[in-house]
Parts: sequence; structure tokens; C-alpha cells
Amino acid sequence: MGETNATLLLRGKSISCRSKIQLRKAMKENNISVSAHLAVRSGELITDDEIIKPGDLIELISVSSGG
Amino acid sequence: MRCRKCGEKAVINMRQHRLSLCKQHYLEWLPNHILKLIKKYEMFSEHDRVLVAVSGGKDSLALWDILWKLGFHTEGFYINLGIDAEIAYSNRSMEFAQNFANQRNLTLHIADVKRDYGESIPEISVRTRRGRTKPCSLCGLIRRHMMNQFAVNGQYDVLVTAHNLDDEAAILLANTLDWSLEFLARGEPVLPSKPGFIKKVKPLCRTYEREAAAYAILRDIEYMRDECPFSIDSKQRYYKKYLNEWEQKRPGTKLRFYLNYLTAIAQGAFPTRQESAQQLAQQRCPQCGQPTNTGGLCAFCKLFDKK
Repeated sequence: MGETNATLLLRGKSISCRSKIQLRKAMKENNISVSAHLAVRSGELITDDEIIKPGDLIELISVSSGG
Repeated sequence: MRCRKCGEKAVINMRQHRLSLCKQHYLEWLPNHILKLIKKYEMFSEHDRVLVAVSGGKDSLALWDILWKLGFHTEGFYINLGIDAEIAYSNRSMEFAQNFANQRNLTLHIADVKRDYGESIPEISVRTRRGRTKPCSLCGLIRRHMMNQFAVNGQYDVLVTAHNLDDEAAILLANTLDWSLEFLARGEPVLPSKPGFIKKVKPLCRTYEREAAAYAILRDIEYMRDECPFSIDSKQRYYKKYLNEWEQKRPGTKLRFYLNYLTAIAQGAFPTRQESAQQLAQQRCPQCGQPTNTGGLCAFCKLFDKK
């Protein structure tokens, strides 16, 4: 992973993404629904307009359940 | 993004409400929002004994936490379905529910399908055609039966379930596509009591799934994050996926869909609750005594009737 990249963590899988862009854009680029996930960075919930910083590790928590 | 109330950094943006809030104000806003709905739909009062159906997931634990904070007299009811496989789904879910109750000194009643009826959900699923083709439908039937029976026998005033807006919108979409008028008549936030049936209410019916999850995370509630292995390919998940896509493009789609449906019900678009009630509860199951319209054993007792 280049130092300008960041990491999205989804269901235990690491996904490399661009930094210096809004989180919602990074999620869209990786086909991850903004409506169906929450994002946590450094233990804090963040909104999808946050700019991803180089080296960020952002956990995406699926909120969709059902059966 | 900034909190609309105080200008601090927001932790959630609810585009359907055009409202972003910080942690402190979100943890105030959601319980107040739920309390208003409880009053608006006359779900229950501070004098009622409230039984909360708890799964160990984010919705039911967030809701129970909110009701507890609001001062309602609540007890929890968890059903161990015996779905374990590799991830010990049921036992781990039960642990989350039990830990939650212990931390707040709340009473959690635990039922166990295998202990009480001799077979777990996976075992019943293999044995029955309904279970092989629609395991979630089978599970729903069993849970509804056991919850109702426990609530009626325990003389609670109301049974609270944690169906959220995404659940309601997905069910509504499925029933609309099928034009299931009988089921379309049952999607209201309150299903009144009738002989043999406890009053059922859904305080989260206007709360998005992500809002319930955000509340649980912000309150440090530990909940079961793994999905039920049976639900991975469920119809409800399929509809939720599309609803989320529409929501992304047009914020508020799910909420409008549900609220306009409630308006349609109020305008008489579907059979009334009274008409539906007359169709149901005509007779009692000779085995368990719960209402049924089958003319013999109820659908639940038929599952275990191996004659």
C-alpha cells in the first residue's frame, strides 16, 4: 500500500483506497453502500463527507440485517 | 459536517431529516424521537408491563436501552434458536443479550427451541418443506408463536419488537410486489390485542437501521454483528439492497414509502384491522390453545406433529 493510500476495513477484509477524497467517494469507488454502512475512525463515528487522510484505517460497519 | 444544534463535529447525518448531530445531541434526539412515537401511536404508558423481544442484535438492544433510559417497566425475552454452526450464532447472540441485561440489572427471560420442543431451527428446517424452502419464514413463525405465548401467559400489557424502518419498508415492498392484501393490512406500528393475541408495537418503525446501529455504537452497546447464516440469501435482504440504492439517490425514499403507506391504510386502502381480525382467531388450536384459522392444529403445532 502506498503511503498516499488509506484502508477500509469491511467484515475483516482490508480494502486499499485513495486518500484526500471524501469517504463517500471512496465507498462508491469500491461499490460499498453508504446507506448500509457506518464508518468508525480511531474509535469515533464519522460522517461520509469526511476527507480520508493518508494512512487512515476506517472500519465500515454493516448495518443491514434481516431474514 | 457540523451538529445542527451546537456546531460540534457531527457523528451522524440523517439526510431524510436534513439533520446532522454530534454524539451528545444524537443520544438525546433518538430517545426523544422514539418517545414521541410511543405517545403518538399510543403504544404503551409508564404504567404498562412491557416485554421486549430481544435478539442480541443492534436494534433490539438499542431499543431496550432507550426504553430503560426512558423509565418504562421492561423485561426482555430471548429465544435461543439453536443456530450455531461455525459461528455459534445463537449462543453468542444470547450472551450479548444476557450481558446487556446484567449490566443494567434488567430481567431477561430465555426460551430455547430445542429444549422446549426437542429440535433446533436447523433441525426443523431440514425436516420440513417450509424450512427447506423458506427457513426465515419458518423461524418467523416459531418466534411469533413463542413470543405471543410467553407474553400472554405472563400477562404482559404489550410486546415490543425492534422492527426498524428498513425492515418495514422491505416487508412492504415484498407484500406490494405480491399484492398480499392480508399482510399489507398488518404493517401498522401497533397491532391491537385480541383474544389470544398480545398487543404488539414497533417503536423503531420510523428509525433507519443505520440510526439504531449508530445509537448502539455511541452507547458502547456490544451486540451481535455477525449475520444469521440462514438470512444471507433472504428475500428481505434482497429488497433492502434495492431500497438502499434508491435511498442513496433520493434521501427519504424509505421513510416516504412507509409513511404514505400508513396514510393509505388510514384512508381504507386495505382490509381493516377488524376485518383481518375476524378472519383470524375464529378457533383455538387443540394442542397449544393459541388462535388459529386452520380448523385444526395451528401452523406452529403442525411443525411438530409427526403423526
